[in-house]
Amino acid sequence: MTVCLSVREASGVCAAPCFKVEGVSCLVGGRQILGPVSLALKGPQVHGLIGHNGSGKSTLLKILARQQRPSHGSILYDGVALDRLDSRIFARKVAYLPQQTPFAPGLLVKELVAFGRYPWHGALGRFGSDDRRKVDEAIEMTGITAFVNRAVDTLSGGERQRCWLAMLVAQDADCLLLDEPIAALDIAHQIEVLSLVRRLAKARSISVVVVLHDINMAARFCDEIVALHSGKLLAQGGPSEIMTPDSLRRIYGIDMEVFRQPGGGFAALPEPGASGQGAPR
Amino acid sequence: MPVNILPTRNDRVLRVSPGLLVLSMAGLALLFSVRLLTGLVPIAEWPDAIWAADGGDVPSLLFVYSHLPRIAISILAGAALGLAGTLLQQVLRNPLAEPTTLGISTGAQLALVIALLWQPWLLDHGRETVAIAGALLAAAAVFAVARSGQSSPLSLVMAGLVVNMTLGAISGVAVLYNHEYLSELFVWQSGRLEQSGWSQVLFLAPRLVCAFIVSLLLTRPLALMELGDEGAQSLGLRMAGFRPVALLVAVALSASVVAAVGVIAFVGLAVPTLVSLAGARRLKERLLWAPAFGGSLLWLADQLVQQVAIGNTTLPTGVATALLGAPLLLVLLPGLRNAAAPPAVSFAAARRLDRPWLAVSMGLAVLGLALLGALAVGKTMGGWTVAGVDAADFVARWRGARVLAALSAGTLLGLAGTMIQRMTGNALASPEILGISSGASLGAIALTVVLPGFGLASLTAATTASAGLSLIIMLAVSRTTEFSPQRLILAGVALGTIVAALSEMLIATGGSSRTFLLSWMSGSTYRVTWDTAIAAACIATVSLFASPLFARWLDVLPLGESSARSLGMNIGQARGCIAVACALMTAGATIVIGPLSFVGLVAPHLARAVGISRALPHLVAAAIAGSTIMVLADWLGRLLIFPWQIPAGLLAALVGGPYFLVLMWRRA
Ligand SMILES: Nc1ncnc2c1ncn2[C@@H]1O[C@H](COP(=O)(O)OP(=O)(O)OP(=O)(O)O)[C@@H](O)[C@H]1O
Ligand SMILES: [Mg+2]
Repeated sequence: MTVCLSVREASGVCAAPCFKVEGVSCLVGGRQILGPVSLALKGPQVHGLIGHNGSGKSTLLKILARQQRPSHGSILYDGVALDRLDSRIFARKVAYLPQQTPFAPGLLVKELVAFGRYPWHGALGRFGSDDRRKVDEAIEMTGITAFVNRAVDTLSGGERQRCWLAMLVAQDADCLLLDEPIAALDIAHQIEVLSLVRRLAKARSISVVVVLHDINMAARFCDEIVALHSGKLLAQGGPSEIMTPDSLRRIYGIDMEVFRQPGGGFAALPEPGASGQGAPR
Repeated sequence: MPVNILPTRNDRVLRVSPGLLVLSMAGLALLFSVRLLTGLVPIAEWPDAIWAADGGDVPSLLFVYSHLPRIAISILAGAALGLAGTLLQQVLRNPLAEPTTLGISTGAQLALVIALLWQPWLLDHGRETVAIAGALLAAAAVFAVARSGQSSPLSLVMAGLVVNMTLGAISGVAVLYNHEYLSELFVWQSGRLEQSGWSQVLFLAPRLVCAFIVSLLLTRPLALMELGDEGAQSLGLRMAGFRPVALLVAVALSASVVAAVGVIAFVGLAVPTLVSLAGARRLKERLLWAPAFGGSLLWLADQLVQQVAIGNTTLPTGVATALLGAPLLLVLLPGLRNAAAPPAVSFAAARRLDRPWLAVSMGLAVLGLALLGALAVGKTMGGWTVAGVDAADFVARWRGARVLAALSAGTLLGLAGTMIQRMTGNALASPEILGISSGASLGAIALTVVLPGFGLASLTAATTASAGLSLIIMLAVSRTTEFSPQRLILAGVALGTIVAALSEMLIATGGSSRTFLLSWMSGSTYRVTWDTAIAAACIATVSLFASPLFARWLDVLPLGESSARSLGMNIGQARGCIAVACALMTAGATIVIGPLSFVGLVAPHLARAVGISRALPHLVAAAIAGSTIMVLADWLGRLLIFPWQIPAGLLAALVGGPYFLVLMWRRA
């Protein structure tokens, strides 16, 4: 069909930005908590969103996920204004994992994951074999087979987070917006989940925007890092551009040492004796 | 988790500060009072009148022993209710908590009713004692039922609600069979502030002062309760200790108010909300401002009441506060913050059935048995009778219509209740919370006033029209927030309060129509004809077959707004559709059995308690449970005190209430 019908087929060829954010800001009670921010998030890539606490990461993500309207500015997804999309069509394109996953009393894990198919079958459509297959696939990919028959509210924090991720995988969207998906996970599961996200991004050629607090994880798993500071865009670039003592100081307000790992990766550690001034307010 | 509707510090909704609010109301009230008093005694003679009252003339006697104490009692009662409401809402962490929520007012009132009917001498000597004893007993029942689970806010409010309904039903029955005392009984229900001396003031004032001091001492631990049980406990606060103390203070205080002036609706509910809307965010501020605001509100309401005479009597002040406060709440609602509410005030079932449909079919079998019994078994003067096939004609004529009506109404209420509970994520929600049944009753009430000799057709038309109108109002005030549950609930409560106040007033003053109103409001099926029954059955059938259309929405909505939206649900559309469907079903049920929608609260819980959790089986099971309860209630109501009858709605509350309490008690 048309040139940029889907980023998937055109992966790599069509480098159209999947999100184009222009002059977006968000005011709450007269206070500007975000922006104005302008940025473009390109095609099938993993974008890490970093920044100090309260820098507006969740707010930006919510605006991208249409959970919240921006006070000013416009957002295009694949060239279409965000608010012109029908809600189910939008949910097939963009899936969102909130920072705090809701409490789901009495719900079984397999049911939760099956909810991910809602955008495809809607309120009345049949839950077909295709839906079933996607759900099983998502359960297997996220490694939650062991507790599919447990109630969600009896799971541990990390187990629960993986279940919600499974729901997003089942949603089969072109773009995943993940707000701190590894906050409650142990180091092995952090690596596992982020590898999964990255594998998914490459295999299905979808784009991911993931909020992370661990700069080393961001450098390792993201193609591009976007840094916010006090609601403003501070830096955007590949890991090699962000992982410098200079830009890390600007992002977190703390002196850090950056090492190159033998494999070509980066690792940053606070300098001995460094004391953070925290985020300027 | 409670429904969180309080605005945050950043978004003050009212443009005025609490101080300004209180000052303006008090100022207005003062103006009215001075006007009234100068009509009695010129202002220059006030000191004389006060100092020499005993030797004075009639106007100065009235001045000192009627008007002044009336002003004082209105301020005191308002302040007490405001304080009690604030304490209750803080401790229970539920914005719907108020003195009535815990059965306090109903308990006090029932005690007074019982005393009046059987031991009238008690009232002359210890009206306060009777009321307080009733209130404490009711509150004790509530706490006993909710005893374990460390008296969690939810189970407390839930138990309160059910105790309330049961006690209300008991006094309903008592009133229904003692018409001659009606007017006297209703005085307590609508709250009157007429005074004849200073004794009530002297009774209430020290109690208010004590309660106020205790609550100030408790401010810190109470403030920590905002963190929730776990959070507060981790800060080293032992909830088990402070909660009962604070509750006891609130209970005793509200019972004293009932004893002194009767049930005054709405102040305890609305004042804490209004005060925090005006920007009093911290508990300490609210504890200071709520009594001040409550006092000035009731003072003003009482003065307004005295300005307008209706016939040879005046409006009860309790009615006036509702008429004054409820619209205020409705007006304020659009400004209320659209918080992403924590979705759960839910009773997750202790267990879960693997095969819910098996349970559903077993329920269906029970319903079949109940139907068979209701149709075939009856009582005559000669004793029990069992109608065989040969008596089909008799059964169809005398029992068919009402059994069908009960069946349909139960189905409708069960469905509507399940939908509302799942949509709002609030296990305390019931169809009446949407204000629909209140709207429908308002139509019936208006009809009895405007057109005393009405027929069934006009009754149906009036109830449907006014149910529709109240639905439109409800949707209008909550439209801007995509029908957020909290706003729907508050708007519904406000509407319900107005209607309850009006209907109580009409019943208290009303003439010939009040017997009809009473029996209609107590949910009787006597008057049901085949036409009504068939109409209700059609609505019920359509609703039952339409309910799968809502199942997916109702599955996803309890996950909360943000998840539902990110799954691509059009929240406004979904909630709007569900609300409209519920309204239609509730209106359908209301026409048949009146505004008692207790079944709509209980049936979804029963289905949940059995272990059914998905939306579709939940809907069906609740419909079956609801209709079984209604059919049984109709049948038993016919048999229990033969040759008299107990209205099915009342009986459902009377039997279902205690049963539900036992269920909660065992599960807790
Ligand atoms: N509803 C709101 N009302 C007032 N302030 C808000 C609201 N939502 C967010 N803020 C403020 O906006 C700022 C950005 O919030 P946001 O949640 O986006 O931060 P964040 O970068 O996700 O922080 P964290 O790393 O802690 O999750 C914060 O200062 C927060 O206090
Ligand atoms: Mg955040």
